[in-house]
Amino acid sequence: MEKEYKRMLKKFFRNPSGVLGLALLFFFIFVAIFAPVIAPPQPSNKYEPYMMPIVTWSPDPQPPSKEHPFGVSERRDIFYGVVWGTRTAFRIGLIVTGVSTLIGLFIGSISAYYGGWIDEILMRITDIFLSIPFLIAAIVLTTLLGTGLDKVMIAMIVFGWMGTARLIRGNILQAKEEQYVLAAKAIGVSTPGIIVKHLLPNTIFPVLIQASMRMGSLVITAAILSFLGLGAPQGYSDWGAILNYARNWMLGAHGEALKYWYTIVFPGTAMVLFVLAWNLIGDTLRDIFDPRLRI
Amino acid sequence: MTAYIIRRLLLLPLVLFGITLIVFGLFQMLGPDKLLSAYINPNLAEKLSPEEMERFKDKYGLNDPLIVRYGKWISSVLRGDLGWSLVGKEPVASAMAKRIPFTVELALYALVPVVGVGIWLGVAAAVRHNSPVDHFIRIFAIVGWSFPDFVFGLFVLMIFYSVLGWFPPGNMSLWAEEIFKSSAFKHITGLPSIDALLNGQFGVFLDCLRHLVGPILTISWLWWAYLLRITRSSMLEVLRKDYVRTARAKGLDERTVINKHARRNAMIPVTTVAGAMIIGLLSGTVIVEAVFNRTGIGSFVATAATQLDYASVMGGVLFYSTILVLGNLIIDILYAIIDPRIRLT
Amino acid sequence: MSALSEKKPILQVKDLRTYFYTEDGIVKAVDGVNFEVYEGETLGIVGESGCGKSVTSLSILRLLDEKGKIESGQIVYKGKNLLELSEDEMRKIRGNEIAMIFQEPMTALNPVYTIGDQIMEAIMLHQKLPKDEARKLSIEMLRKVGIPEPEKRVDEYPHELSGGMRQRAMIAMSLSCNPSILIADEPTTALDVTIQAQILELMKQLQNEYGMSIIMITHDLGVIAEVSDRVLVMYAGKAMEYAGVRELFKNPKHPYTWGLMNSIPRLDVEYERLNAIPGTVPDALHFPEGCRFHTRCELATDKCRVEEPPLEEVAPGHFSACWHVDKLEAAIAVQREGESA
Repeated sequence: MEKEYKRMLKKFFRNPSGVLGLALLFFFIFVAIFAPVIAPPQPSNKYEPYMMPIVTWSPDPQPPSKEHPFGVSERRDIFYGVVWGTRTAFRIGLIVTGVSTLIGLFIGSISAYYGGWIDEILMRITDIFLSIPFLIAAIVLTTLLGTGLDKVMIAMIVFGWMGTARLIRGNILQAKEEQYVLAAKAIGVSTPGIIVKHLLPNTIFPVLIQASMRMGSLVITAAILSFLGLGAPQGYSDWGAILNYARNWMLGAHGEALKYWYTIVFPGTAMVLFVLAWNLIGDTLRDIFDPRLRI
Repeated sequence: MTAYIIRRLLLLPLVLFGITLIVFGLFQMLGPDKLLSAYINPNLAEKLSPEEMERFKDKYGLNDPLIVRYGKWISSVLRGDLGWSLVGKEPVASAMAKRIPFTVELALYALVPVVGVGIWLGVAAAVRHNSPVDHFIRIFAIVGWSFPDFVFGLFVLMIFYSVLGWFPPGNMSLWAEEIFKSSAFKHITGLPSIDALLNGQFGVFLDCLRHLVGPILTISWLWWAYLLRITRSSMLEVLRKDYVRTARAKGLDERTVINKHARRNAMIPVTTVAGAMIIGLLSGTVIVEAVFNRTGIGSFVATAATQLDYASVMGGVLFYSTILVLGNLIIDILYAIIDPRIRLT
Repeated sequence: MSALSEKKPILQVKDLRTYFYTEDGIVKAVDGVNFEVYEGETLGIVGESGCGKSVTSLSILRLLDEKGKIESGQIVYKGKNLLELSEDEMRKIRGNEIAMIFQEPMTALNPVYTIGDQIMEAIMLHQKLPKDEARKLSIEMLRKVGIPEPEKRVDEYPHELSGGMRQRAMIAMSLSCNPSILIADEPTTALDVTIQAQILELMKQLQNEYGMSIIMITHDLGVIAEVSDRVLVMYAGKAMEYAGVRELFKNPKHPYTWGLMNSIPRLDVEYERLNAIPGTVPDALHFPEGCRFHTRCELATDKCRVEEPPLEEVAPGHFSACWHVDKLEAAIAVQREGESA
C-alpha cells in the first residue's frame, strides 16, 4: 500500500499541471498565513483585521501607487483586501467543502448501506434538493437568514451535499458486493463498524477528488453571492465584495475607458488563480486515480 | 414514448409541490410580521395601526397553521396571484411577466453557441488527440473552467463596451425601448428580438442582438469549457471502441466514422450532464443580468433577495424550478432518442 | 509444399514488423512474420494472448491505433503491396475485398444503429446500390447466415439480439460485399460452446458457397483443427511453426506447438498432472534474447539462449524455428510410446 502511495506521488509530481496547481496553492497558503506581515493592519482596524482600512475620503478609485500597490477602490486599499481575502477564500472553501462533504458522506453511506425505504426516502429528498438551481437556492436561503458571509456559507452547505451523497452511495453499493465486506459481515462485525472500517476507506478517494474539484467552484459561488450584495458586509476583505465595488467604475471615465482597470484586474486575477490551483490539483488526482477519465 | 411524456408532465405539479412546500416552509420561519409585507403595499402598511395590522394578518391568514397557509398560498398561486412585489412595485405575477421574456431570450440564444461550439471543440480535440490543437483546447478548458463568469463578464464589458464600444449593457437602447413599448409594436411571441423582426423593426432587432452578445459570450465561456471536457473524454473513450474499428474495417472514410459512428455514441454521456448544464444556464442568467445590468427574472430575484422581498423570491423559485423540471424531461427524451437501449416506459 | 502449392496465394505477408511506441518503450508486437493465404483456403493463426496474432490481422487492414506502426515488410494482395496504397485506395479494399469480424459481437456492432443500417452501410458504400436494394440484400444476407425472421431482425438494434445472433449478423455484414478474404479474429471465443460449433459450421458452409479465403485467428487448437487448411503458430511476435494442418498435428516440429497440444486434456490418457506449458508469456517490452521461447522450453540449451533460430523448412512444406527439432522428435516418440503402452 505504501509503495502504491509513493507511485501515485511520483505520478503527481511528473504531471506539470499538478505541480503548477500545487505551487499556486502553496503560494496562496503562504499569503494567507503571512497576511499580517504582508499587509499589516492599520491602527484603525487593528481589532478587526478583516475589515479593509479606509485610506482616503475621495470616492473615486485611485490607481496603484507606492503606498497602495493595487490601487484604491471605494476608499479602501485593494492590496490589503486581496491579501486578507485569501484567508476568507480558504475559510469559505475549507469549511463549506468539509461540512457538506461530511453530510454527503453520512447521507450517502446510510442510504447505500441500509437500502430499502431508507434509501428511497433519502434519495427522493436528494432529488428535490437537486431540482432547485444551486444559486437560486443559495439566494433564497440567504434571504431567509439575512445577508452575511456566515449565512452564505450555511446556504452553500445546505445545498451542497447532494453530489457527494450520490457519489458515495453509488460507490458503496458497488463495494458492498465485494468479498471482503461479505466476509466482515459473516464474522459478525457491526453495521457502523463495517461502514467506517471497510466501506469508506475504499470509496473515499473519488470523494476527495470531487471535494478538491469543488473547492474552486464553491469559492466562485461565494464570490458571486458577495458580488450580488448578499455576502460579505461593506469593507470586508473578500474578493467577490471588492469586485462588487468595481461595478460602478468598470465603464471607465470619459475618454479613458480603462482608467479603473485595477479595480477588476487584481481581485479578479487572485480569484482565477486560486480556483485554477484547485482545479489543476483535482484534475491531476483524477488522472492518476482514474486514467480512463483523463481530460 | 408519448405515454411517458404525459406521465412525466403529470408528475411536474407534484415536484413543484415538493419544492414550493420546502421553500414556503422555510419562509414561514420568518414570522407573521415580516411576511405581511408580501401582501400589502408598504406605503399603505406604514399608515396602519397595530390593530389594523392584526386584522390584515388574520385576513391573509398569517396566524393560521402552516398547512392552512400553504393551502391558501397555493390556491392563490393557481389563480395567478403571487402576492405583492416590493422590487417591482406591482403584483409579482405582472412584474415577472415583464421580465421573463428577456431571460428566456438570453437562455435560448445562449444555448446554441454553448452546445454547438462546446461539442465541436470537444470532438476536435479528441480526434486530434495529443496534437498541439488538443493541448491548446485542453488548456483553454481548464483555464476557462477556473474563470468565474461574473469576473469574465466584467472583463467583457470593459473591453467590448468601454474600449471598443461594440456591445453595450442593458436590454436595449433607449430609442429601441421607445419603439418596443409603443402601442404600435405588437407582442406576438413575447421574445423581444423575434417580435422586432415580425414587426418589421429591423433596427430594434439588431439593437437587441447587440445587447445580447456580451451576456451570451459570458455564459458560453464557462460552458464551453465544461462541455468540451466531457465531450472530449467521452469521444476519446468511444474512439477506442470495437464498433469504431468495425466501421473502419468496413472501409468507411474517417469523417463518416467520426461523425456517424463515434459522435452519436459519445453524446450519450454528454446528455447525462445536460441537466447540470440547464442549472448552470439558469444560474448564469442571474449573474449575467446583474453584471450587464439587464432587467430579467434573474436580476429580479437577486435584487428581491437583497431587499428581503419574499413574494418575489418565491415567484422566481417557481419559475426556475419549472424550467428545470421541464428541461430534465427534454433531456430524458433526447437521451432515449440517442440511445436505443433506453426505453421510456 | 506439394498439394497446397498448386493453388495461387491471394495474400502474401513478407517479413512483417509492427511495433507499438508506448510511454514505457517499444513493443515489438509482430517481429518478422511470413505467411501466405491461398484462394478458397483457411489459414489458422494460433497462439496465446499477446503473441501478436491480432496485431498481424489489424496490420493487414492497416487498422492499428495511433501508437502502432508497421515498421517494414510487405503485404501483397493480388499483386499489390497494401502498405504502399494511399488511404483512399486502402478504404476500397477494407470491407470490400478483405473483410473482418471480431471477437466480441457485443461491442463490435454499433449500439445506436440497427443491424440493417450497419449492413446496408457497407453495401451502399462499396456496391453503390440504392437504399431499397441494399436493404433487400441485407435481409438476404441475414437469411443466409441463419437468422430467423430476417425481415424483422433487420430493423432491430444489436442489444435486442443474443450473442450468437449478433455474431451471425456480424458475419452477414462482413460477407455482404462478397470479399476475397475474411479475417476472423477469435470469432467464437466469446460464445457458448454449442453456439461456437454452429458459427464455425456456418463459416465453413459460407466458404464453400462464396469461395473466399479465411484467416482464422484463435488461441484454441480445437478450432484450428476443425477449420484450417494450414496453420501458423505464433509466439511473442514471431512465427514458431508453419505447416499444413494434418502435418502439424501429426508431426509437430516445435516444442511450443507440442506444448500447446499437450495442454489440451485428453480423455484417452491418464495424467499424473496436466501438462501446462511452464511459466508465462514474456513481457512484450523485454522479449528474451535468442529463441524467444527458451524461457519456457524444456529442451532449451545454451545455444537457444544466445542465438535466435531461423524459420526453416524441416520437412516438405513444414517450417519450424527451433534448434532442436531432432531432440523434440525423440521426446515425442518416447511420450507416444508411453501412451500406447
